[in-house]
Amino acid sequence: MKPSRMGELGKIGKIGSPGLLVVATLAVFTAGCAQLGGRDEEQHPREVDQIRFSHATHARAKVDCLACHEEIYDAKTLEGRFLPPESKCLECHKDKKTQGNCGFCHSDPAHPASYPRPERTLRMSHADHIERVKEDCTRCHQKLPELARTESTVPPMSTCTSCHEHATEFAAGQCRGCHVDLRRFPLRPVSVFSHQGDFVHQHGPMARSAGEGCAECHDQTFCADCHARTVALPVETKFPERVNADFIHRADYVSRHAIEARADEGMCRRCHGQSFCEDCHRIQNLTPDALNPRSPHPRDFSFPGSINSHGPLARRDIAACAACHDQGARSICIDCHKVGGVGGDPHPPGWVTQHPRDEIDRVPMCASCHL
Amino acid sequence: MSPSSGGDRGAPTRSRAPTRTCGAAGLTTLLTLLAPLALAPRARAETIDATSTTLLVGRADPRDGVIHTAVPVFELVSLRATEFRLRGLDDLAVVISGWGAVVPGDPVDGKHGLGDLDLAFAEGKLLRRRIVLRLGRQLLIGGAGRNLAFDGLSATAMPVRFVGLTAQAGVPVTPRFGVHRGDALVAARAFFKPAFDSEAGVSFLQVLDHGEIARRDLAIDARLVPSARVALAVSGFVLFSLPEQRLAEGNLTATWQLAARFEVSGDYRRTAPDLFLPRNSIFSVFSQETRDEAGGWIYWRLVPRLKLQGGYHVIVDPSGTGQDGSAKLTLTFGPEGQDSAGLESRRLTLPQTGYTLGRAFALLRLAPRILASLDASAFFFDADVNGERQSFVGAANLGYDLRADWRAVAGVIGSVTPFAEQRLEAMVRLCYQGTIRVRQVTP
Repeated sequence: MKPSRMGELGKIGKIGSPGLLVVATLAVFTAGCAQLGGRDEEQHPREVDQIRFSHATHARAKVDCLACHEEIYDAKTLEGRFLPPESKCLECHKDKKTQGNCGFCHSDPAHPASYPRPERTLRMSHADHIERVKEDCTRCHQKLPELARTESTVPPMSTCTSCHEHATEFAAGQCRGCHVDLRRFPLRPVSVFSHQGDFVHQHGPMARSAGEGCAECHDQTFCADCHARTVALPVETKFPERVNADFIHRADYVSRHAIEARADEGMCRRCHGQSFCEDCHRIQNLTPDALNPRSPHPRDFSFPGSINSHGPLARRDIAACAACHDQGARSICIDCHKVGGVGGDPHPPGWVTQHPRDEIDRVPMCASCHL
Repeated sequence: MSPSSGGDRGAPTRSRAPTRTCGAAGLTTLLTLLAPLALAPRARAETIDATSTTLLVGRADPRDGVIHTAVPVFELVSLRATEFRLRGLDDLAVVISGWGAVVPGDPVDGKHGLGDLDLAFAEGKLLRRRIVLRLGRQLLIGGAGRNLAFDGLSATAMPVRFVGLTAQAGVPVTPRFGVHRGDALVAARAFFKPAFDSEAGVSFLQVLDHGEIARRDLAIDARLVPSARVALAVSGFVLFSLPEQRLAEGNLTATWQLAARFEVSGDYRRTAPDLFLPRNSIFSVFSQETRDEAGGWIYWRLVPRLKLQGGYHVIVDPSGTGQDGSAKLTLTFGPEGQDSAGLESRRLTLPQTGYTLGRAFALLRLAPRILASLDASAFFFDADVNGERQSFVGAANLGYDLRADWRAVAGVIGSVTPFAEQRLEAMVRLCYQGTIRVRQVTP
């Protein structure tokens, strides 16, 4: 038996009348866009007050770096505050403040704030470096913040490697000597090195055989983007515009799911179990528990020796049977295959060599058939 | 809220295993696990990486010949908060990834509100970063874990250079629509990691369900790069079921990058599909089957903007021999290669069944802020599927980058399939992906 084909374009209006769709769409957009304005200004410091400062002007005035950044001289880590407090600035520019010229330093004088606290992503001792470079900060800090901040002024990694030989550490992946956390800052050399070719197709076996290596750079949220276990949405629905990605369930998977399961039932079983199959099959009236059950199996499925007998199929694809029929002690199999039943011994050849008879008394499951 | 549901029948002596939910019980467990962090008065994150996706889908849902209307709204949120200051713990981070859905209309399972947590854990390092602790809902990925989600504690220590031990204990999470995974889990993996690209490990996993063994597996895994001069990587994995004394899963893969633009790989995989069932399932006594698959893949960037991926595998199981071949050609173009178009084909042949796929797709940056994608697939089945031999699906999406961190996407999918003569789905998505700096410091 097969269900009739169904659906027609004319019924698409039932998806929710166009009016409902439009209203819901507008609501989602409105809600999202309403957050855009406020959220960014409140929480992104780059949108709020900045301290206006020109290193070039101070260098021309022959102000020594350590005159303002004196704490850096003894800093063995990057934890701490190395930017001068307001009192340091006022040593020279007190007149600006007494004149009320707040805009001399603050980009937004109406809402004055302090420096944003930068995220520390490296382990680095200034104390160990300053004497070696003879207090010449420009050996590393070749770019410094100026009034117009248009690019990052953090010394690039090449500055470090111009003195430090890191070939051994790089080859060994020993990055954490300097980098606090690679997960948030995957380094391009590492990504290029390890993810060339057809990596997406191969990443599964690789993750199982080198999980610690993956965790060097990738947080579990990265995995959960596609492999989330509670399955809110198929990943194809979550990222519909990623048409060049290799998603498993793309397009009409429902029509071919039985074929795919037949090709590799273990693959399905990694993520999906009985309830996944049963919930859907019940709605389609394909399980004994359905309101109007109808068997999807051939008529001679229950007759041993027939061309469509269930026995050989169960031997080679038992997970498919379990997908609908594993109701524990109520499973349909037990009706015929219990000890003394008409179905005979269901165990595969060689079963008794691995499962001694006393297992019947030890394992509760056995009692379902061995009464 | 009705979160993760499902559950295979565990012990056959039960008439029906109760539906295990990750909601109330799981949430309580998680809150208990994470309570110490909340009580730490000085623990405040400074940086939060956040992603948020709001998705509205309207679709006609055919159920046994009747069209039902479903218009679910999903909200998916992922947060990673870092730079906590907590004495004794380094690199403390809190990760939460979850979702919620409201399903007006006629939902499949009759539930109008759904939600669950995919991940919810706190992670930190002790003893000068020699020990990594992770507490809460997390994934067990490497070794014998088979990407198992659980609520509990994971600890990783590297007492000796290159050598480490990781151990987990907790309660497996039953995925929504998934297999009931048991009541208690313990796992451990000892690993040797001499280099970034090489690693070997021995792992053990045991899952108990109502006191009975659902899984007890031993695994050996390795990934090696034999020579620094040759871009050859070999990885292998063997999973052995201790109760059954049989190989549950094994694979061996070798990947050789012959040139910067050409890579070839060969692999062999053996599985025992019946060992993917819990050992306390009544169905675990009916079969001892094996499935073998061998083949290879190539990746060839013919010219800088044109790449070919293809593979061929032979599948052998007790019913006979099958073949699985596929090819995908992708062309990138436009400024900085941000546009792409491609063709894909697959031929899967199995005893008595199979199908052929033909597909075309394109991803186009129409304007600096506007993205469009087109996708068309055609399936031709070897045997009748619901009385039909073909299936056609077309999809179009239009995305607009509202700001650097925000994108809105609207899309439609039309299809003619064996189960629906004509079907149309509509979708709207709004997503955010950015970093929020929470705190500033006053000098």
